[in-house]
Amino acid sequence: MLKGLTRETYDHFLSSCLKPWESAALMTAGGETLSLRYETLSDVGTLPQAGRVALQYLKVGPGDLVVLNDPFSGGNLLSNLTLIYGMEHECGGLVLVVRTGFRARLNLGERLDEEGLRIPPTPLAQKGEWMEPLLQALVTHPQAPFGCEARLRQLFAQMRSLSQRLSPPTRDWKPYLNECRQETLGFLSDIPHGETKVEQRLAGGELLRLNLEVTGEHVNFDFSGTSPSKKIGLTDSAVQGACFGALVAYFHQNLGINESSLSISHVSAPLGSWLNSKYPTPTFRGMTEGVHRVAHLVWQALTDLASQAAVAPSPSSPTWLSLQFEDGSMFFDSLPGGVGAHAKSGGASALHLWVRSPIVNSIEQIESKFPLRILQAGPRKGSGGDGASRGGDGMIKTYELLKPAHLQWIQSTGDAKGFRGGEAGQSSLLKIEGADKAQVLKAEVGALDLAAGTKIEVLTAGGGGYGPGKQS
Amino acid sequence: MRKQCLALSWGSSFAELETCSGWVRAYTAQLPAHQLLKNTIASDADLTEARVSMSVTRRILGTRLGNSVAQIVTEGFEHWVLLRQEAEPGHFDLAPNRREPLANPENLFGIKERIAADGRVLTPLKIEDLEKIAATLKSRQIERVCLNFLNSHRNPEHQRAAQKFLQEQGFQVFSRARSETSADELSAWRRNLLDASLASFFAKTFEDFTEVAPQMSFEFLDTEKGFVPVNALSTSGLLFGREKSLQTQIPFLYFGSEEWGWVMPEDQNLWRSPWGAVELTAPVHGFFHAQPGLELILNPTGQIRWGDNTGMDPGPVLWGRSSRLTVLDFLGWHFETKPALRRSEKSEAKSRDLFESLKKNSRDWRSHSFETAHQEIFDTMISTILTDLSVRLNSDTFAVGGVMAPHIIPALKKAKPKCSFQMLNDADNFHETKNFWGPNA
Repeated sequence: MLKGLTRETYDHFLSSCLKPWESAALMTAGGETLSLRYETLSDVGTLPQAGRVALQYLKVGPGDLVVLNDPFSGGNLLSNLTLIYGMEHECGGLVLVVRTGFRARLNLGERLDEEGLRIPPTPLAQKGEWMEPLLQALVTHPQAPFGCEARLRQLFAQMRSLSQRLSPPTRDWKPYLNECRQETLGFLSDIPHGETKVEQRLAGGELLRLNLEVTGEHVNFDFSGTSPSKKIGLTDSAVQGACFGALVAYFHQNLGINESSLSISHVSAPLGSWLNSKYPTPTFRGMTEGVHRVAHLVWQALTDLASQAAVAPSPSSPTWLSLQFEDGSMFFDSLPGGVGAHAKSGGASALHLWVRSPIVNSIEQIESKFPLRILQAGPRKGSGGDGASRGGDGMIKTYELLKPAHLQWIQSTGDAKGFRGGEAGQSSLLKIEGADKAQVLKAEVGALDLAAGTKIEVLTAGGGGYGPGKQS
Repeated sequence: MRKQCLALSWGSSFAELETCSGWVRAYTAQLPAHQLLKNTIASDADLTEARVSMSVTRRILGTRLGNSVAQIVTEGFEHWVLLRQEAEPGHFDLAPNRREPLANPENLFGIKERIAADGRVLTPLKIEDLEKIAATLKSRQIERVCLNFLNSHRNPEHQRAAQKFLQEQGFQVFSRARSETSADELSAWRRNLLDASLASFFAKTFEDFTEVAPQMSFEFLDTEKGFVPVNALSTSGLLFGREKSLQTQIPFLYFGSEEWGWVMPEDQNLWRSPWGAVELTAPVHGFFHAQPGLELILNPTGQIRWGDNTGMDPGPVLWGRSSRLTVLDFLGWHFETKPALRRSEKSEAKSRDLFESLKKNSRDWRSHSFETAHQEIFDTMISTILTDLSVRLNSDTFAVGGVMAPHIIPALKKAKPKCSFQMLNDADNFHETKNFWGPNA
């Protein structure tokens, strides 16, 4: 066992390395994850996968840089680029995996390639030198994200500079990882051992089925029986992230994510099911809505086993919408619902449950950049489920189009149920009010052309209430 | 320094005061800053001008602020700042929450007015709407009001009109004059709320100062304006006055008895506060993970680990302050914080006894002597400082100061021979008040 103060040094080094970025992982050249920093559920599983794929197929060495966004190689959304860099100098033997996001686009295509430019693992630099033809081929592609070249150059310089200055406290991380495993098993002992089955059907008819088994050494997530889908797809590494993210939330601790802690979770996502899809299945909905649904189902299963940790359900996903204008500009927004209540307190209102560092769209910035006016943005009062502890309220945001636009949306349908006598939260809704008509959109997914002057009111779902309310 | 000048740096636990007659440091738990001021003035009738920097305002950020502050916000966006407040904790959790908001949500009022992104008036402001709100505020005995209107940086007409009306009604109005380049409404509104929330604390502080020194004129270090009189500063500008006073042309590393950190030569325009980004210009600065006030605790497996950072509240055992060992109980044998705190035989003995007790129950230190434990702690601190320097500060040249700097710098130089560490301490100590009145004062 490591000395305590030695452990402090290691912990601090591993967390500090990743501080400059919101989504990043530090790995050994052998593909072991030493530390990880996440923004989303899918980050937890896909960042290490991206590192492993790059190491295995492109033999990333010191000073080498690989980029990818292909979800089937460890990417998540196509608007996010993942860079894998072989660290240099005293950090040789370590690999830094950094994810950087560009403007998100809500893509509801039939094929992955309709969602944007797909980049398989591609070498961009070797021994610190850019491979300029490959870099230019990427950044000059018509679908390359705006500002891509500058961002890639800046990130590579940043990673190299860090590598030059850092001195790792050790070259042998095995004792550290062994100790982390013991600690994780300690956390695991908090979950009662046993097995439970849960399932959920999505609005499109897809089935999500989970058999959860907790032993002293592992948590087995068996998704056998989950159906296929042509419209919503995920990868097994993203599912791994969703499952582990739900465990982190259960443990209620800032659990260090590394090879050891990840090793306690075994995920079996059947090939061909929508959780383990193949190219060219589109993955935008999977990487956004799908991972949330998986995490929620895992949480439901954990609550079956450990009822004392119960929390009322939250909406299965936020509402996403995009507005594409005739000049080509695209506005994207992600609006959270309310959080489910628990025994000790009500749920928080309008809070992203499964995204750290979410997009913060300032009203003034939106209005200055897009032909949009925001008419209101606030809590959707009373939308949280009633109960001894009230579910958190969703939010209302109303947009007025100053020019015509093409609207696309994904919203959570179905209520966030109440728990132990609590009431369900209200469902999400989209209300459209044009010059000559008004309509309420309840579909989970959709698209619509809208005229200038149209008002779009987004009402996100409320969280479930906990316990019988005063009226009951 | 001219004989009528006085410089006071008021930190979380220590205050330093300098005149042409000399320099003194006080531990504010034993000698509050305004009492230190009083004692100094009592012995020097020539003192008439004072410059003050304060970082003590940061301590109250952990308390419930702004309870009696009202907000008047563009209708439809009353809860916008609260909804955009970051969640705690920072990891996935199924019961996340937001920290207490900056101002009391029960004193939140929406008003019909709207300015477009291009500055056009979409919905005019009506004075009768303000009258109704003012009546409610008076009935609740609220005296401070924040005005947070959308797009006020494009057209401040409504905000100015509302400010004028409410001031005529006797309210203290906080209405931020935003520049064209103001980042967004969220950071500007939070700034406005913070100014209002800190105002009463500062008013009380200033009252204490003027009570003990009625003949003195005071200027306070505002990070955005420099040393300015009371009526010209904004209370949030006080938050990082100390960092401003420590700012040099190269990165400055500070190793004091209470905290270790750095101040960069450049400023930042947004402060990442506990409530979210706040429009506030202040030096880029940070704190090392290693801190002298870190407690040393035993975990269930017998490992010695770092616990919470207690700072000087209550402070190290070595200086007779508490009964829990901190890093300073090991490193503090190398210096005295003159003249604020002194070791005594009793406190030294207690410190050693606590070490023996910790050692007996630990797996790590069972066979350690005090000196070996000290070395291990010191090496760990240095290692984490080096990591922070590598990750957070992209520089090879540093200025260094603080009472513990002479002890730490040799180890840093040995580990980073290519880096330059220029000591700013004079023979005795590092004076934070040194440049308050400029080199020619």
